[in-house]
Amino acid sequence: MARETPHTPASERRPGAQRVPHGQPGEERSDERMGPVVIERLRKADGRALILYRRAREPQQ
Amino acid sequence: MSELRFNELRGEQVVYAVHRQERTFLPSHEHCPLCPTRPGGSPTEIPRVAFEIAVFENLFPAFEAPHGAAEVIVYTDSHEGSLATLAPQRAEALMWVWRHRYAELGAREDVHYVLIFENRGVKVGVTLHHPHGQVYAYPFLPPVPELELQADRRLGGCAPCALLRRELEDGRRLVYQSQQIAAYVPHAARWAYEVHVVVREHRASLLDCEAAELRSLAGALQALVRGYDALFDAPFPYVMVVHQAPVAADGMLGGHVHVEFYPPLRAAGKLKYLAGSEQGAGTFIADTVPEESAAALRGAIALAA
Repeated sequence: MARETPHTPASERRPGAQRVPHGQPGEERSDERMGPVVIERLRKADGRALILYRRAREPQQ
Repeated sequence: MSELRFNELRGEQVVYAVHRQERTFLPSHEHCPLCPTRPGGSPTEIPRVAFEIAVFENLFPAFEAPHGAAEVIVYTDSHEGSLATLAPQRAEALMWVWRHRYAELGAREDVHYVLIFENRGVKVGVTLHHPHGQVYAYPFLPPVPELELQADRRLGGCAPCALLRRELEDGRRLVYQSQQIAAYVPHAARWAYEVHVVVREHRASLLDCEAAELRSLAGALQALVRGYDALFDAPFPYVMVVHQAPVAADGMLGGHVHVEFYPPLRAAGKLKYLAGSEQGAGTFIADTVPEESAAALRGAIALAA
């Protein structure tokens, strides 16, 4: 897959970087990953987005 | 909701976000909204007893959908510390978080420019001491990235690439180097200890960086902040800004990822104020010479390593 740049069409971007029409609530997803980081999406009680990032635990050899 | 007004005389947008007057101002540790929510304690912005890095929509946003966004990036669940004191793996993870926010916010139709930054210290107006940064996603292209695009046109190519080559050839203002990163006090720095931390290869944004470049960038930023803190043997206030390519169709040319630091101190305990010439004419009057600042900073970075 070609490296993603700001010039990359939205349709070709990786999950998590889709072009989202403004005003549309974000899709709830969990355990996405970008590089070594695991991404957990939450929604606060007042509706604001909260994203928690943690380093992926590499499997024990 | 913020209001945008166009200042005709300056040719720039001004953002009126009057609700920000009510934002939390220098709370005690016990009332820090960026700490984890402890059992039996008051709820904070992060409803977990522990976390690594958290990002949330600012309760007092300068921008919000459908006209941009404002987010807070919390570096750690520890109330104390700084970018410099994070474990190297955490600092590296932060680079990936920056990259993720750039990708996601930059993909929105209402966002033209993504600015990741950190204000450190009350001298630059910080209102929360917990280690954190912010993201502003602008619904227009702000003046500074527009000026960078103009510099690209003036120099006939990528301006940060050209300026990096000049600094590497000169060498007097370099303060840090690794295989992937170089940092220097610019030839025409506006602030006494201004530093630009630049990815050596041409990369429009963090999305274009290799993993090793992100790791090296984190190491460079930490080394620099440790050096800043060693310079006057005190936590060094600064504004840190990640410069990347504009994301909207009207700004799709140019951009070279680099991180600029604007520290307000011109000497230990002495602030540089933006006064008559800076505000009235837009011309900085500097009290120091970049070559001497760079030499002092190089020594401090070596001392702190």
